[in-house]
Amino acid sequence: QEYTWRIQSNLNEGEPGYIALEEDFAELATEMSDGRIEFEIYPVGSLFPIADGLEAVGSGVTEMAVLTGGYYTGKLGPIATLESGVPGSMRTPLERFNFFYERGFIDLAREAYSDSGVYYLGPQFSPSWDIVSTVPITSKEDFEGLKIRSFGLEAEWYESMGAEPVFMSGGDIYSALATGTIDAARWASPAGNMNNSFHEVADYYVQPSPMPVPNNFFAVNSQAWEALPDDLKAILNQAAVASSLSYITLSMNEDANAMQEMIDSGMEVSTIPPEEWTEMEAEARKLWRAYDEEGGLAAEGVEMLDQFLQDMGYSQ
Amino acid sequence: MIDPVMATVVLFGGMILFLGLGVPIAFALGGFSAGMIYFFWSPQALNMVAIKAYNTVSSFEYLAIPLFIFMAAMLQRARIAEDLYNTMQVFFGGLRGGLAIGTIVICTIFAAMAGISGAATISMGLIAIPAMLSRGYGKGVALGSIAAGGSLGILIPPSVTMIVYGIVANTSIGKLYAGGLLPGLVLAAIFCVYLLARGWIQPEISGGALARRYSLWEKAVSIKGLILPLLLIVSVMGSILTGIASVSEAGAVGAAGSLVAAALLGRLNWSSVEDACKETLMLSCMIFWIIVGATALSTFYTAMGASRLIEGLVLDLELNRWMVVIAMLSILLVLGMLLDTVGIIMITAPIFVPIVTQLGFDPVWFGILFIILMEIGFLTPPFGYNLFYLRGVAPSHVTMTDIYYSVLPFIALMLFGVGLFMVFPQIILYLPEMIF
Amino acid sequence: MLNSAVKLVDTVIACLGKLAALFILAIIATMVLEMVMRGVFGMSTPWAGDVSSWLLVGVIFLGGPWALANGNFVRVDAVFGILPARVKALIDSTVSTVLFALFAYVLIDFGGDLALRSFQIGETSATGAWEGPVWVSKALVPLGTCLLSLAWVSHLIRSWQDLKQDGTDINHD
Ligand code: NA
Ligand code: NA
Repeated sequence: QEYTWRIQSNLNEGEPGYIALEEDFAELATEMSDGRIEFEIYPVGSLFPIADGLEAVGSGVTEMAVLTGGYYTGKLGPIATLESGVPGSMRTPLERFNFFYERGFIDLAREAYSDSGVYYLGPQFSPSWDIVSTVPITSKEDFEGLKIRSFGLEAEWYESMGAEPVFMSGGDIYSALATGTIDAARWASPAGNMNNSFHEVADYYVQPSPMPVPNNFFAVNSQAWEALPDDLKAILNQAAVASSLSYITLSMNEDANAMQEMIDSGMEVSTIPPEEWTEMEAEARKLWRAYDEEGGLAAEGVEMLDQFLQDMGYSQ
Repeated sequence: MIDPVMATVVLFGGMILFLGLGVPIAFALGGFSAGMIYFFWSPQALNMVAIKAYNTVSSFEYLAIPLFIFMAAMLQRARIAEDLYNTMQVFFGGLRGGLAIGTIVICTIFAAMAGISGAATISMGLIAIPAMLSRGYGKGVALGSIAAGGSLGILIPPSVTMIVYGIVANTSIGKLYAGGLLPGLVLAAIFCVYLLARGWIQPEISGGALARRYSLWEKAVSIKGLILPLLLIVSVMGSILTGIASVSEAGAVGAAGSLVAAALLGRLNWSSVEDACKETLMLSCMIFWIIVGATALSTFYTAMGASRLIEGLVLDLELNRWMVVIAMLSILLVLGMLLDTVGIIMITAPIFVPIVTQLGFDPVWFGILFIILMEIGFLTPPFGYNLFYLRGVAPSHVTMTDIYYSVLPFIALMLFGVGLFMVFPQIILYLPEMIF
Repeated sequence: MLNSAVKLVDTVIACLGKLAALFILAIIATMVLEMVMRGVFGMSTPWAGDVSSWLLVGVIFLGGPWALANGNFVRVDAVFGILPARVKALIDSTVSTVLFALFAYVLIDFGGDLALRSFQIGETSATGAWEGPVWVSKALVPLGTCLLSLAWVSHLIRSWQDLKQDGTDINHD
């Protein structure tokens, strides 16, 4: 082979997103390139913390990584939040696919990350990021006084409904839910939440999801990217799309199983009725629309997103 | 790229050489890693060392370390630790090895307050080493019981190590928590029985010279020495259990509580607070600089394909299922001599756990054995955090050789415990099966 | 001349160290404040988590040089402890110094880049809950390591001077 790249995943071995990276990105690209590029995959955090992923990939600690934009708002501003997905916007992965690849949001993302020495290869769409809670949440009022682990735009959103957002690192959530330091936590999809054992300490699974179609992204070191010939670049672009779709489909199965298993173990689904949810989503839209004032890429992103939602016939 | 077998040999060789020569541990680990990364990974990858250094030192979970050290330093300055040991002396003074047993008991309680190891070892080292040495205990008994007792911190919940393991190995954290409790208590009991036996055989190093029985009145009077430490324990554990504090924040309750306790006794003054701060800084620097170096080393080893090496080793085994488990635990024992806990979990858990499950073993049972092997890793040379921590807190007449010898019997006892839990898996599985 | 330079370095390091030691009280205060605000007033302090972590960075990197000067960077002294002072000084001046230099170089150079980059892009807290500048604490990594290097040099000079005077042990603890 001509190229060997290290990739750090955003997940642990065996999780759907890791498998989608391994089989449908790495192995596929190796096969399509006739073995000219090969990959070694490492689980999340084993080479560097994901919060420092931009510096790590940008400086070439690894040639590539799957990263999560939500961690980089402090570095890149609101465009990173828009890239990860925002509440009150799209609802299906295909819409997101359209938005990135047909509407051209991917170009905005590429521009945003280029300053960090990172080539934004493409999004890896992920299953929903949901809320688990120790108290039932069936209305907007139930957020009043709710101590919920969250951050960024979502934290502002919950706060606007009277909640008390608490930021804490992933490792503290389990014990914090168990003892009541927090009442709720926004974390991953059903399979991810079950992997963290949250169903043991939180009785309610809140629906609908605040983040129904978020995404992580494939980050490539700019120099490593530039060093590739055009045909390999094209192969990696296609492999990214393939991996993205396979992650969504793999997770459908895993999430359905996990949900069933958690319900069997006594967890209850707590649903907010549609009319009320629509109202809440409108609140969220106000928050990210305000990014408009920041100008630059953030403003462009907001405009693009608004236009898209309008074209899809979603309410204001 | 370097072959993982080669990397293992070079790592082991380098560590033994540089640590053996007496290079300050942090610099040996950090400098050696930097050189290896430069030559065998890539010069750009050196960024990882700086990234991880900042990330480790600024991570919220690790704040518990300085906070609990401060608590211990303050308790010592306010002579509350002294009072506590006086009380223990009055109650257990007639029993040879009694204070060592008392130390194990306090370590066990400490383990239930802190989620991170190091907190307990350092804090107890600070309090218990001088207290035991001054009451007729030998270095071996004093040091060994603290090193071993302190390592219980990751087995008895709460435990940050178990959370890391649970997530990486996809094992229920609640079941691990429940599964760790009884083995933790059993190990503590094993330590106590051993200390009792040793006190009987070797009274001269187990407080025998100062042994005497105290009257009932003396005992009643001395109980007041227990009040403040007990209140402090109740408030730290209470703050976690009632949700006032997260596990990482509980250390702050302990630290603030130690100031309040000192004030209640009228022993709070600026110079002792300043002193406690200084001691906390000194010991925290020792620990964190070592952690930074150790993290660089295990990350390098991970990047060089350590997982593939381990996978190859295990998959080649054509043994019966029990021998496979024993082989895995042996690999953990060896890696424990070289690497830090998180590194070992990252490298081995994703490989071991699916195999163990496939062989029909309970993943919670295996998880607890895994955690105990991590505890043993804290004690095994050349790289053992608890050994270094003790070096940092022990008076200067205690040598590293003393520390090595002191932990050997406890390593043997823990391995005995591992055997016991393999033969009687119910010790691990009883609570998880009852609760879940 | 050399002596007064060493003395100056030692003084600066001790002053910074004493300051950093007080950060520990600030950490306790910040965390207690957060617990009280959350528990009693039901609102989380957005900056408490970051500030306490950043203070710890200060403790470790500004305090590190002082800890080194006080002999708190532990060694495995099973062999080292029984070596003659001259051999100890020789090991420290060669092997230890090379390893130290490698480690320090990485933290100063690459850590410096990280801090500079953080400053240039105006990085703020990752939680997005407040606008705290991250570069301040990131800059402590290269800064602290520079001071640590000075402390190491001062330690080496001391150990050779002690040797010349009376052949005493090089550890100042
Ligand atoms: Na514990
Ligand atoms: Na070890």
